[in-house]
Amino acid sequence: LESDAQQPIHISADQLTIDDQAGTAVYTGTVHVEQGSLKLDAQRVELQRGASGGLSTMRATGTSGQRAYIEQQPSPQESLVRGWGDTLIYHAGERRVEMLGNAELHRGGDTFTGAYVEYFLDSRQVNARGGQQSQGGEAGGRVNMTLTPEGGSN
Amino acid sequence: MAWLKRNANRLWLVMILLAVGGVLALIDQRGELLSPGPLPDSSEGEPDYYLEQVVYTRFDQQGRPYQTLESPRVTHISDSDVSLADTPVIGLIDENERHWRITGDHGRVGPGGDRITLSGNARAVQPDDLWRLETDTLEYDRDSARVWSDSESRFFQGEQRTRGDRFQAWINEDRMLLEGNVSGTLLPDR
Repeated sequence: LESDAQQPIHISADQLTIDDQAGTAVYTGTVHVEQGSLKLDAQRVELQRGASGGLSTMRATGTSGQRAYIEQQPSPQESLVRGWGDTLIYHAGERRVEMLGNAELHRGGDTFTGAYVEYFLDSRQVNARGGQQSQGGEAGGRVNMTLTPEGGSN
Repeated sequence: MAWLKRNANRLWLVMILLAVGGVLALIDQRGELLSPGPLPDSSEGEPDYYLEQVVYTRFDQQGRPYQTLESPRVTHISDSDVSLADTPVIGLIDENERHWRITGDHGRVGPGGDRITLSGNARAVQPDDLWRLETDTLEYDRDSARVWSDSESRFFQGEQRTRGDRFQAWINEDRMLLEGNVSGTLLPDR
């Protein structure tokens, strides 16, 4: 929702480590983050702080068996946007989410998968890229999109 | 009667002097008159002496201050070289010259001040990094330069508030750890 960005961020986990010399705050073990309608679940979440000490970026990673997951309600009229990736990076200031590795995004009836998917929360814009060319020369992973025509059902 | 009238002023003067003298004597004996106060009810042993309005500083071999203690009352047990302090305010200076302030309702300072236990409303504050910890019982160990608590702990840094079942901080390394049912709130960047 538009108001998400002004909401406080609630975080729960098994453990929190703060290292002020490295400037990091790392939550580990069943991490759950909520900021308004935005929700994130991961095994490890590293927070970077901005100038005022508030949240600047959140880097979330899953485990080998379970990707990190993020969801957000763009507006009361729209359905949830849901994203998965081995790594998710949420840029709070830019309201932008990057999904890296086994990236997948469901936005309304559309589905995007690839090595990298980027989603802008406010403009609802999606950018997706395949993986690097692998040694054998075949494409390292392609981008797949399933777009649902206006008014069509999935 | 006539004599009384003639010397009334002198008599008043003598009585005033006697009264002032009595009050001064009372004040002077304040130390003896005050009861020694409650004996510590712990199993630490028989108190050797107690001190009031205590402020002391400990220095390392290089003559650098590393620990201060202020307390309205410290009871020392020489057998175990343990001091029990009421509402102590303990200052620690870490390797980076940062000051930590740890307080509590009661303090137990072990031999050489190397091990301190604070119980009841224990607090640890480290202003440079805006750290503040609130818990019930807090431990400090000088050898490992570590402050920790095994009771529920509430950690504050700037506008971040987080609680956990246990807490540790390595005071020379700027690093802390909260464990067990960690949950907290952080404000967005403005």
